[in-house]
Amino acid sequence: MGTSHRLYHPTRPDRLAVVSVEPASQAGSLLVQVARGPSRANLLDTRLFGPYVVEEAIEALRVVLEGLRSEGYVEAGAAARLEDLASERAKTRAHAALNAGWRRERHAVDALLAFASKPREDIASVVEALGRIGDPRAIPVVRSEAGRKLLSRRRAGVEALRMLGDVEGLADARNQALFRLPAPVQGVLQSLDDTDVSAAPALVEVVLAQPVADQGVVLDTLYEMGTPLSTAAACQGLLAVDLPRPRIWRYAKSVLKRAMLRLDGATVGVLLHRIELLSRQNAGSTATLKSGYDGQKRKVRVFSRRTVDYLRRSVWRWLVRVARYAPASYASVAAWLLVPYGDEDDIVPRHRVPRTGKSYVLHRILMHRSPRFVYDARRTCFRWRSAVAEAAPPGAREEAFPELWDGAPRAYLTLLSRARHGHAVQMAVAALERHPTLIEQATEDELASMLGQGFEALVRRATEELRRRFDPDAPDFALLDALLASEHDSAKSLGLLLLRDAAHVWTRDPVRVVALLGMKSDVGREAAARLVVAGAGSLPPAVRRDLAARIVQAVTTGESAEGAHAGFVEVARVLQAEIAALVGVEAALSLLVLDSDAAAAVAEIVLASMSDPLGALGPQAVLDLASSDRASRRRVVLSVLAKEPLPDFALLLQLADVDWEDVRKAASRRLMQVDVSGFDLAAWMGLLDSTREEVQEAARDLLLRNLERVDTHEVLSRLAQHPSPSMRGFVVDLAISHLRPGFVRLAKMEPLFRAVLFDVRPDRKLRTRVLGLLVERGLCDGAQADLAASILGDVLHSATHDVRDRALEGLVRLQLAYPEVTSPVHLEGAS
Amino acid sequence: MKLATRYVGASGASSGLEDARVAFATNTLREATFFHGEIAQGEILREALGALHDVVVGDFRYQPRDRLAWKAWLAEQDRKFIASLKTKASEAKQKLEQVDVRLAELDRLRGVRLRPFHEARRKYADYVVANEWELSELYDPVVTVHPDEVFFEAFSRDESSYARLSAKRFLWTELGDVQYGTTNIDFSAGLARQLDRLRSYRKTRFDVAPGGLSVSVDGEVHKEKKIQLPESWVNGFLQVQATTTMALRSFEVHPIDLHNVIRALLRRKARTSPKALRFELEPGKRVRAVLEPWEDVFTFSSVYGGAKAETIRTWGRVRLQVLRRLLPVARSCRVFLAGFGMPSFYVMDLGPVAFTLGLSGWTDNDWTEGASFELLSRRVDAAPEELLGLYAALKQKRVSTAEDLSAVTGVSLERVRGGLSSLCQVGRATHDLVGGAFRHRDLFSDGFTLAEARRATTSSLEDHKPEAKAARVIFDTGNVRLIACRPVSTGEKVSGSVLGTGGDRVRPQIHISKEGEIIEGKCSCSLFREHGMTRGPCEHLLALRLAYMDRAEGGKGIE
Repeated sequence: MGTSHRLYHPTRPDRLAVVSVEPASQAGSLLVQVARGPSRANLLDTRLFGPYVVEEAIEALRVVLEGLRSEGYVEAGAAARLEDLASERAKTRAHAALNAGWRRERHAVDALLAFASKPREDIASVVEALGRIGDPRAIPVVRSEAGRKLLSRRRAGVEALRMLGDVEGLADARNQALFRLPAPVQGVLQSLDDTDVSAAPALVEVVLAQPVADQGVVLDTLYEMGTPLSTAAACQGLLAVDLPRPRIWRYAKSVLKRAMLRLDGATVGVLLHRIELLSRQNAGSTATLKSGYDGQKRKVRVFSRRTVDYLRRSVWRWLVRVARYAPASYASVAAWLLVPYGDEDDIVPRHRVPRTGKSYVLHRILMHRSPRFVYDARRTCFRWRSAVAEAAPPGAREEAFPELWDGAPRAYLTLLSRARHGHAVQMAVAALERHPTLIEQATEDELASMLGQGFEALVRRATEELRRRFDPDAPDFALLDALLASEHDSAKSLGLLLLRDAAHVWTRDPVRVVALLGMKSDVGREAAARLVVAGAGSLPPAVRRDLAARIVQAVTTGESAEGAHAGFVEVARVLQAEIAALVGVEAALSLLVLDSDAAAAVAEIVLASMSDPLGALGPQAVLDLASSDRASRRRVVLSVLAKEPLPDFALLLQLADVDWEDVRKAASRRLMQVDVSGFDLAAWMGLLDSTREEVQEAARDLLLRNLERVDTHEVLSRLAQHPSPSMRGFVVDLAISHLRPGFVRLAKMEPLFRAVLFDVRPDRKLRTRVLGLLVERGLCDGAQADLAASILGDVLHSATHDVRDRALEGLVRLQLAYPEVTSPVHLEGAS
Repeated sequence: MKLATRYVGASGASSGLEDARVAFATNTLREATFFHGEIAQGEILREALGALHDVVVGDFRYQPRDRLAWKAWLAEQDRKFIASLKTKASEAKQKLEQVDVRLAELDRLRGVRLRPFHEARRKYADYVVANEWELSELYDPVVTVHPDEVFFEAFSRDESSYARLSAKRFLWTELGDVQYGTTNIDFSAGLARQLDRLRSYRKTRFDVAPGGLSVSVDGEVHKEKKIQLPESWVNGFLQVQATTTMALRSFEVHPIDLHNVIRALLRRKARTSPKALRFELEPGKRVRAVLEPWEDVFTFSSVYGGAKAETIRTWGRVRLQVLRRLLPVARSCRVFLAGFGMPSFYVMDLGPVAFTLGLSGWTDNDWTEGASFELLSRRVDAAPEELLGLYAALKQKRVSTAEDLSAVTGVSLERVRGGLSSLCQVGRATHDLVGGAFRHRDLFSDGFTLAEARRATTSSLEDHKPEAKAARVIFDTGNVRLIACRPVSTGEKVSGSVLGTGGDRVRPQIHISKEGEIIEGKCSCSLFREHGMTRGPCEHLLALRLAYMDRAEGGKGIE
C-alpha cells in the first residue's frame, strides 16, 4: 500500500485528483483518500473512505478510480502526451508515443493510428507503442510496416506484431524473412526442426560460411524470425562473428533493439556483455557505408566509443522502464543480464575505480542504490566516492529495485545456477536467507549447477535439497546422470554418494547396469563398475548370465571415446565364467579384430579361461598380437604367456625380440623357466644373440647356470661377434675363465678384442682385462704371440696412456719371449 | 620435388637358430632391380649397414635448447620476490616461507606420483614421433646393383653427410638372380636393430627384392611414402659428384688414429670457437690433426705424400662419430680433403666392403647451401644425341672410365668427360671416388629421353649458376686479360686481371689442370676474401679460366 494515483481532467476547474491509500489510526485498517483541486499544491476537496481491511481497501480503491474515470478523469500526463503526439518536433512525438506505449494507454490508440496513417520519420516509435499497448485495431497498420524494406520500420513492425500476438501476421513476416536469407542458410533452416535448439551450432556454421559482409544481416533476419532455433542461432552467431566490423555492427545493434523490445534478457545480456568486453580492446574503425535510410554513402565511425557507451546506457534506461512498467519481469530480465558476466570481467582496482566499475550494467543492477559510488559520465564508469566508501556496509542491500527482486524470487535461482560473477551469486545466496523455501522451486539441473558455485552455504543447501528429493529405493537416474556428468567436483561427489545409496536397486537390473557403465562420465562409470563388482557375488546366476550377455554385446559396439567401455571390462572380469561360456574362440578372435580396447580385454578374459590358449590362437596370431601397437591386444599375449604350459622356445625367442617392452619382459621371464637340457648350440646362440638387453640378461643367467651343458669354446667363438656392448664384459670374463688353449681359439675371439679396444666409449677395466688376456695368451706360443702382437700393435698409437703403456709393455714382453714375432716395437740390446 | 615410394614388403632381418636372412624391400614404383646372395662376412656388412643407418637418421644441426621450463621458473621466482617485497609483516613472511616449503614438498610428491605417467607419455610421444617421422621425413637410401658391386647411397637428415656403402663381389659366397639397376629401399628406424643379429657363423641370405622380408597378406601395400624431397637433397647428390672429381689431397689414416680423434671429440664439447679439425700436411712428414680450441694434437701414423705443405681446416667434426662402429673392423682409412672449409671424404676399407663418408664444409652448410663446387670442373658440352649414346653405353657397361666410353662411342675424350659430367648433374651417373670410374645410376625412376638430354646440354651451368653466367658476360665483353701463365707438373698456374660485373677490377689466380679443372684459386675480390673457395669459385676465377681455355684452344677474344 501507500501508493497514490494521479488523475487529470482537461475541462473541470478541479483538474487534478489524487487517490491514495493511507493507514488508519486503528491498527491493520486502511483509509482511501480522494483529494481534488486545480493544482498539486492546491488540493482543496478531500474525502476519506473507510476504514477498511486490506481486501476491502483494494476494492474501494478500484471503485473510486472507476468513478473518477467515468467523470472524465484520465491518467495524469496522458492528455499532455496526446498533445505531444501532435507536436511539430519529431523527437517530442516519438517520446510521447513511446511513453504511451510503455504505459499501455489505450486511449492513445486512436491518436497513434491517425498519426501512423501519415508517413513520418518517427513512425517506428508509433508502431512500437501500438505493439506495446496491444490493441488489435493496430494490426493492419503494423502488418504493413512489417513488410517494409527499411530495417528500422520493418523491425518495429515485426516486433509490434509479436507484442500484439498476431500469429498470422508473424507467420507472414517469418516467410518473408526466410526468403531474404541466402540459399544455403535457407536450405539448412528448412531441413531443421524450428524448435530444436541443439541444431543451432550447425546453422551458425552455415552462417559463418557466408561472406563476412552478409553475416550481420543474416543473423538479424534469423533473430527476426523468432523461432527457438533461429533465435538461438542468432545469439550464438553474434558471439562468433567479428562484431566491430562494418556491415556487422549495424545488425548487432538491430538485434539488441529487437531483444529489448521482446524483453529477451538473455540475448540482451549476451550481446551487451560482448560489446562491453570488445570495447575494452577495440576503439572502432572508420568506413564508408551506405545508409539504409536515404541510400547515401557516408564516412562513419563504426563501433565508436560513443555509440558503445550510448548502448550501454540505453540498456540500463530500458531496464529502469521495465522495472517501472513491467515490474514482474524486471528481476528475471536483470538476472539474465548478469549471467554472462564473470569474475574475469573485473578490472584491477585503480584510480578509485572498483573491480566492477567498468562493467556498467552489472554495476547498475548490483549497486545502483549504493551511496558509495559516483558515476563518471565522461568515462562511463563508477568510482568510489571516497577511500572510506571502499568497504560495503554489512547487511546493506545495494542492488537496484530490491523489492522487485523479492517480488519475483525465482530470478535468484537463475543467478544461483547460472551466474559466474561472484558478486551476483553472493547477492542471490544472501537472498536464500530471506526466502528459505525458494530452493525447493529449483529444478534438478539448477541444483546440480549450484553445487559448482564456490559458496559453502549454497553448496550445503543444494546438497541437502537434492538428498531430500532423492529416494534410494526409487532412484531418479536422470538426476544421477546430471550430477555425475557435472563438471563440478561437489556435484560429482554427491552423484557418487547417491549412486552408492541406490546400488542395492540398480545393480540387480542388468539393463540399468549396462546404461550406467556406458554413461559419459568417467568417474560415474568407474564408481558404477566398482559397485557392480562389489555386489556381483550376490547376484542370482540368471542375472549374471544376462549381464554377461549384455556386456559382450556392448563391447562389440564402437567406443564413443577412449576408455568409454572400461567399466564393462571391470565387470566382465568378475563374470569370467559366464562370459567364457558365452563366447567361443572364434568369437574371441573376432573381438580382437575390432578397434576397441574393451573388446580386446573381453577376448583376453575368454582366452585366459581356456586351458590351451596358445594352441587356440596359433603362433602367428600370438606374434601379430605381440607386435600390435594396441596395449590391450598385447595384454592378451601377456595373459597367454602367464599360463602353463610353457610356450614353444622358438616362439618365446621371437616374443622376446618384439618392439614392445611389456611383451619382451614377460617373454624374458618365461625364457628363464625354459628347460635347457635339450638345448643344442644353435638354440643357445639363438638366445644369446638377442639384441634385447632383457633377453641378453636372461640368457647370461641361464648360460652361467648351465655352463657344464654347453661347449664353451664354440659359444665363446660365436659370442665374440656379438655387437652389443652390454655383452662384452660377460664374454671377456667367460673367455678369461673358459677359453681353451691354442691359436685357433684365440683367433676366433679377435672381433671381440678389437671391439673392446676400439670402443670410443670404453669400459676401462674391461679393456685392461682384454689387454692382460692378450699378453697372457701371447706368451703361450709363437702363433698366439703373433696374433696378440698384431692386435696390440694396432692400438699402440692409442691416445690413451693406459692402453698405450700396456700395449707397449705387452709387445715388449712378447718380443722378449718370441723375438721372431712381427711387431711395431723393435728391441735393441735385449738379451 | 615429391618422391613417391611404394613397398609391398618390409625390409628386415630374421634370424633363426641355424640360418638368417636380410632382405631389403625395393620401391615397386621404380624399375625392377633385385639381387640375391649369400653373405660371407656378415659382421662386416652388419657394421657397415649400421653406420649407413647412423648417417640416414643423423641430424647434427644446431638445436636450440628448450628454455620454456626455465623461463617459467624464472618468472615464478620474480613473482615470489615481488610478493616478498610487498609483504611487510614478519609473521606473514614467515608464513609465506612455510607455505613455500610445503608447496615444494607437494610438488616433489606430485612429481613422484606422476613419474610413471610422464614416463609412459614420453614413450608414447617417442613412438609417435619416430613412426610419423619415418613415414614423412626419412629419405630412403638408393641401392644400385652392378656386376662388380652393390652399393647403397644416402644423405643424412641434415643433408650435410653423404654415405656410400659398396659391397664388393667377393662379399657374397653364392649369387642368385640379379637384375642390375637402381631403386630405393625401405629403411625403417627399427631395421638397424634387426641387422645387429647378422653373424658370420650363421648362413645368411641377402636379398634386395620387392618382397623384402615379409610380403603383406592379400598383396596389400606394406608402406607407402610420399616425401617432399627437397631440391637441396637432389642437388646434394650432384654436388658430391662435383667434389669427388676435384683434385683432392689425400692420405692414409690408421683406424686407431681415427679412434683417438673421435674419442676425444666425444669426451668433451667445445664451448667456444674455433671448433675446427685442423689437418697439418707437410710433405714427407706424419700428418697432424689438431682439435681446436684445445689444440689437442694427434700425430697420425701415416706420412703425407703430397707435394705442398698445407693446413686445411674442416668443421662439423662431430659427424665423424658415425664411423665409430667401423673402427674395429676397418683395415685402413683414406681421407680426401678438398680444401679450407670445403668438403672432406673418409673412405673406410673394410675388406669386402668400402664405406665412404662425405662431409660438407660444416654442419649447417649442407651440400648445396650456396656452394658451387661443380663450377670448379670444366665441362665441354656433348651434343644431345652424343649424350644419349653415352648414357646408353654406360648403362650397358654399368661401370666404365671416360677413356673406355670414348673408345666405345667414338666421341672425343673431352666431350665424353663433359657428357659424363652432364649425366652426373642430372643424376644419371655417379663418380666412384675410390675406383675413379663412372657408374650408371638413375637417381629417379623416369627414363632418360632425348628431350632430357637436350635440357641437360642446353641448360648449362650458366643458366643455373649466377657466377658462371657473370663469368660468361665478363668473357664475352672482353673484360678479362691474361697476365701470366706458368706451366707446372699438374697443369698451369695462370694469373690475370678481370673487370667484374660490379665494376671493380680484381686480380684472380688459378692453378688449372690439363683438363681445365680449377685445382686451386685465389682472387682479390670481396667474395673470395669472405668465403674463400668454400662456396665454389667466384665469377672472376671462372672468367679467367674461360680466357685461358679459349687461348689454349686457339680461340679469339683475348688480348
